[in-house]
Amino acid sequence: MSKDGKTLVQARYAVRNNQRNFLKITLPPGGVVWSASVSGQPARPGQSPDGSLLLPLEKARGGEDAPAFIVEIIYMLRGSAWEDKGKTRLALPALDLPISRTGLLLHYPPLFRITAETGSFRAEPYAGPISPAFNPPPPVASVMNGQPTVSTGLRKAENDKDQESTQALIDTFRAKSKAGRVAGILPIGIDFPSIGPSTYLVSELTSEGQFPAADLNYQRDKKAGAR
Amino acid sequence: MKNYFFCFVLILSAIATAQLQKSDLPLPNSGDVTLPLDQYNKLLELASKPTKRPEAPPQNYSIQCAELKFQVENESVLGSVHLEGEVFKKGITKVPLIRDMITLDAQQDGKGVPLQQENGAQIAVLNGPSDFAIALNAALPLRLEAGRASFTLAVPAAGSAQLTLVVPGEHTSVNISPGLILNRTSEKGTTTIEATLAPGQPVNIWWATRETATQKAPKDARFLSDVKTLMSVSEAELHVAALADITVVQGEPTEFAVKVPTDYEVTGVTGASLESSEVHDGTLTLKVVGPKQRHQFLISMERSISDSKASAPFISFVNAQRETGEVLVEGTGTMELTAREGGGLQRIDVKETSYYLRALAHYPPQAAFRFHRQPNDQPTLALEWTRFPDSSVLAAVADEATVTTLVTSEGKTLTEIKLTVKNQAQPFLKVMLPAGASILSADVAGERVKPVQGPDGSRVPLLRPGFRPNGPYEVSFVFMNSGAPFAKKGGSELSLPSMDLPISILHWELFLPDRYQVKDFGGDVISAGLLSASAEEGGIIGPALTGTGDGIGVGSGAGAGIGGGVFNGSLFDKAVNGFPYFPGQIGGVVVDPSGAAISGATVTVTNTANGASMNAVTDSAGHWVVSNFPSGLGKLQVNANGFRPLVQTFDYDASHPAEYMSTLNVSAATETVEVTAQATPMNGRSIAQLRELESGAKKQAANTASTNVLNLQRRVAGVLPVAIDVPRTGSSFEFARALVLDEETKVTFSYKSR
Repeated sequence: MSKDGKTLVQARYAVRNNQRNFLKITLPPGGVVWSASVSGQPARPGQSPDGSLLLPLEKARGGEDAPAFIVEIIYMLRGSAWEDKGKTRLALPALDLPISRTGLLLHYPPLFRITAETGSFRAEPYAGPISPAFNPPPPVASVMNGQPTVSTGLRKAENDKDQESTQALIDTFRAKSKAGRVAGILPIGIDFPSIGPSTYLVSELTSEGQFPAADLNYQRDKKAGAR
Repeated sequence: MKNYFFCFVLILSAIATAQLQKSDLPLPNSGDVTLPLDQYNKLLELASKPTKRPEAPPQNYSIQCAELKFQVENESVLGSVHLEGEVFKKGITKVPLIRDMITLDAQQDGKGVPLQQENGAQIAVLNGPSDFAIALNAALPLRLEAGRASFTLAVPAAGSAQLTLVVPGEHTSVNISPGLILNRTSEKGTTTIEATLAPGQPVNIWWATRETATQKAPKDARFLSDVKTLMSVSEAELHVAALADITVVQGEPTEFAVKVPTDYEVTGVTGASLESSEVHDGTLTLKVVGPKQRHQFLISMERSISDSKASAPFISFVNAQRETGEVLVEGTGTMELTAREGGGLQRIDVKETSYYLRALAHYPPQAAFRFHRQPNDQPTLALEWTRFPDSSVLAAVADEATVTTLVTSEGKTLTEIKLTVKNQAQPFLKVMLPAGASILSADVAGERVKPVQGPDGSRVPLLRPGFRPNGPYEVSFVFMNSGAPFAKKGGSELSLPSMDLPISILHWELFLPDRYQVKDFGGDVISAGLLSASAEEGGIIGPALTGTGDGIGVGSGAGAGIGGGVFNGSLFDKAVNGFPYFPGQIGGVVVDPSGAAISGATVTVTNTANGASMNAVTDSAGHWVVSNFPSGLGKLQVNANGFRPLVQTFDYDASHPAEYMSTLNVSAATETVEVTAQATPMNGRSIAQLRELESGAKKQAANTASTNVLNLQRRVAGVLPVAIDVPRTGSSFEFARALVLDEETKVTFSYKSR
C-alpha cells in the first residue's frame, strides 16, 4: 500500500482440483488485473458475464488426493491518499472456492504505523504458508537426511529411439501448430515490489464468494516523518 | 493279586479326586461367567492393546501365474497368454502384462480390456482391490535362418510361468534357455512341449529345421492401428492432431490409407518412415519407405467453425485389423466445453491419457476418452462450448526505474531515466515531458533509437516478443529541462515526466551543486534512507544493514565465512544476483577465494534445536538451496574436495529467505573453519539489491554521488544542444517512490546559497 492510496495485491492460492475447469475470481470493486498465472505459467484470464475472472485450472486424476498448484493474480486498486491519521480497508478477491487459511503480508508506507482492527484477520508473527505448493522445489539437486531426491525427468528412459522419434514429431507439431497460437497477449510475470515495513495478518475459513477484508488504522509516525 | 487290588483302588481314588476338583468350579448363573483373576487380568491386558492396523501391501499388484500357449505357424508364433493376479491398491493401478509381443486382443470376463502401450509393454489399467484374470491373444515374429528357427519370448513377471508350445515336425528338438522342459509329445506332424519358464526374463527358444528358409511370396498386409487424437477448439477452427502408431503384424505394406473426415482439410503429415502423402477423393494415402514393423505418423487437419458446437471426427486407417486409441479435447482461450460420447468411447481421466498425447496440447485438457473399436462400432463425440471474452492484462511493466538528475546553478536539469522493461505488446513508451523539455538521447536494449515527437508527448520505440530480446531489457533516455535560475535562497520543484507504463519502484538521485545548501525535501517521494530504515524497523531487513566489514552482515575469518571479505560486490554480481528465494528457504553460493563458483560442494544445514539436517549439492553456478527450514538457530557445513570444510552458525527467521555466501579456502589437510554468520533476509530482493540499498543508505549519509552521476556526466558530453555548465561537484540526495502509474513524480526543496 502506498501513501497516495494505491494498493498492489499479489494473491497466490494453492488450489487442489479434480473436477472444475475454472477458478472464478471476483476482484474488489475497481481492481485492475496486472498479471495472472497458473502453475507458474502465464494464463490469460477470461471474463464471465458478471465481470468475474475465470482462470483455467489443472485437474488431478479422479479418486486421488489432488496435488496443490498455484494460481496467482496480481491486481491494482486505487483509493484515497492517506492522511496523517485514519482508517483504510484492504479487500481481497472473492473465490468460488472455500479458503482454509489466508495469510496476508502487508507492506505499508514507511512513514506510517498501522494496526489491524479486530475482525476476520488477526495479527500474528509471520509463518510460512502451510501448503508445500508455495515452496517451489529447489533449483539444485537436493537431498534430505541422506536420501537423494531424483528428479522424475531423470527416471525416464530417454535413450529409446522410438521415444525420441515420437518426441521429435511432437516438437515439430508444437512449433508449427496454429492451434496453440494466442490471438491476444499473455500476461507479464511481474516482480512484486516488497517495499516498506510489513505486518502479517491471518484469517481462517473464508467461505466461497466472500471478500476477505482487513480493516486497518494508520497514523503518521512523527519520528519517522522527519526527512 | 494284592498288588492289582492296590492299583485298582489307587486309580479309583484319582478319578474321584479329579471329579471333586471339577466340581470345585462354581457353576455360572444364567448370563454370567466366572473366571480366575489371572485369566481376567490377562483378558484386560489383551483388550488394552491397540488393534493392529492392517499394513499397506508392499506392492500395488501381483501376477500370480502366467500360462502361455503358442503355436508356430508359417513365419509367426501365435497363441494366448493367460494371466491371473490381484490388485491390492485401492483405485486405478497400471499392471504391466506382457512386453515385446503384438497383442491382438485382450479379454477379462468376456469383455475387452483397454491396454496402454509404454516402452514396448502392454499395460492394463485395472481398478482395485480385486482379483483379475486376463486372456490375451498375442503374436511374435519367428526368425528363420538356414536350418534353424527361433524366437524370443518375454516372460511375464508372474509368480510362475508355464509354456505349452507346438512346433511343426514330429520329434523336433526344441531348446529353451532359460527354462525347464517338463514334457515332450509328438503326433500328427507336430511336437508339443510343456515347460516352466523363469518369470520376468526373456527366453530364447530354438529348434532345427530340415529345410532352409526360402523366399516366400508376399503376403497380404495385416496391421494394427493406435491413434491418439487431440481435438482443439479454437476461435474459428476445429483442429485435429492425430499421432498414429501402426504395428505391422504380417507382410510388408508400402502404403496406408486414411479416411479424411468430411469438411476437413489435411494441413500436415509427418513421420520418420513417411516417403510421401497425398489426398485424393477423401482418402489420405501415406507411402512409407522400407519394411518396418512399426510406423508412426502425425497427421493434422482442420475445419472452420462458426457455431458453438461440432461433432468431433475420428481418424481411421483403412483395413486395420484392430483400431484402438485415445481422444483428448482442449479449448483455446477461456471456454466451458462439454463433450458427449457414444459408440464405444469410454470416458477416462485426463491424466490417464498417453504422455505424448498430453504433450500435444497447448491448454489444460477438458475431457479425455479411450476406444477399442469393435467391428460394428462407430465412435461419436459431440462437442459444445461457451466461450468467454478475455480480460485485459498489462501489456508492459517497468520493474524498476533508476533516475539521475543533475541540477545546474542556472536551474537547468539533465535527467537520465533508466527503466527495466518487460513488454508483451506495447509498441512505444509514451513520455509526457515537462513544458520546454526535450529528449537528448535514447537507448533501447543497448541500441541507440530516435524518439518520435508527437502532440501528446514523445514516443520511444520498444521491443516486443518475436523481436529480440525476449526477457527484460533496459530502456533509457536523457532529457534536458530549462528551469528558473536559483536565487540566493528560495524553493524549487523538480518533476519527472509521466510514462505510460507502470513502474514498480522508482529510485531518484538528485545531484545539486555544492554552492547551495538544501533541506526540507517534499513531494511524492520519500528518502531512500527512510525506506531502508523503515524496513529495518519493520523487521524486514533487520541487522543485515548494520553489519561490519566490507559488506552486508557480520562475521569473522578472512574470506572464510559470511562477512568480512565475503560480501563483495563483484562476487555477488557474478554468483548470486537475481537468484530467487522464498520464505522458509535458505540458500547461497559456494565460491573459492578467487570468487569462482564451486560446483558439487555438499552443504548440510542443521537445525540446532532438534538436530534435523537437510543436505544440498551446489550446481554448476555454485548455488544451493533448501526449503522449509524452521526459525531458530542453525548450523551450516560446507564440504568440497580440495577445500577446507567451513562451518557457520546462524539465527534464521523463516518469515524471510536468507542467503549465505561461503568462501572456501584451499587446504591440503583436514581442517575446519568455524564462524558465526549473519543471515541476510531477502524479502523479495536479491543480495545485490540489498547491498545497493545499504550502499545507498551509506552514501545518503555522506551525500556522495553514485556512479550513475558520473555516467550521466559522460553520457551528455557531446549531445548537449546548448552549452551547459554540467556540475562536476555537488551533493547527492536519493529518493524512492513505489507504484508510479502514468503520473508525474515531484520533489520539492528549499535552498540557500552558501
